[in-house]
Amino acid sequence: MKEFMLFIRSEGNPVANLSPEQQQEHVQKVGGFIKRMVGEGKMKSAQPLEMQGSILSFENGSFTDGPFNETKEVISGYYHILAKDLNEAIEIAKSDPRFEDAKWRMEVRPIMKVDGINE
Amino acid sequence: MKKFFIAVMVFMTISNSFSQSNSKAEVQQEFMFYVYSDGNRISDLSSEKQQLHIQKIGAYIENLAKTGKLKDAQPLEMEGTKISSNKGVFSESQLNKDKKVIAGYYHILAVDIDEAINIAKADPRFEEEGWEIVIRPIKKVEGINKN
Repeated sequence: MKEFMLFIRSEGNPVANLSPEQQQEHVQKVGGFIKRMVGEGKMKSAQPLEMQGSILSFENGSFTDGPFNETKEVISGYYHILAKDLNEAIEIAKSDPRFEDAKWRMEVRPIMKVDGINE
Repeated sequence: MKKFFIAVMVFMTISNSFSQSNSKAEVQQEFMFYVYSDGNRISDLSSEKQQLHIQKIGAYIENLAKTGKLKDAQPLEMEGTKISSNKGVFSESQLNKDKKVIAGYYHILAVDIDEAINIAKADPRFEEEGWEIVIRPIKKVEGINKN
């Protein structure tokens, strides 16, 4: 099994546009998907992110610490999954029921094993 | 093995700090640091510089683990697939590694965003040009990541 990160991207928080009942249903469906994947040994972690944050960059000898623009396409959460290859990782991504409720994009990225860092 | 060792150290440090600072009740929040680069900066470096880069980052990670600030740290391959869905139809595209992409991430514990920013500033990768770290608080949602 290989490790992959699935970065869930959205414009703003599309869940906020759903009615309270739909939000509840969305969380239940996604929660059920996570539980199933964890049960099958295919998910290591799943976390939503707050729609805020800071961007830190370093240029010409000093740090710039800018605010985060939440109306642009941002990462709204992630899954850390296990799959045998990129194709299985893509299939797992597509089976996330969140796609039934709103517009999302998902970026599927293999984790790299580097001696002295994570190996 | 090393990961296990780091996990054990994190656990030990966390339990130590709990026993020491009960009165202060310092609650740590979770943050994700997304490390962005334009293209693969590491492969642009000479092999000696790559080695040095990995050593410096490795030491930084080890220190974060020792002080109970690190939950996870992983570099990513400079490849991948982007999936989008429109009215139930999926489309896929390859990751464009020449654009600004995530090269790796840290999962960090800090008391607040200011401490998180200070931890990020200490990342020795900033000794080289062209990196950006986006710091994002993890949200606790009942039924997802909160019991």
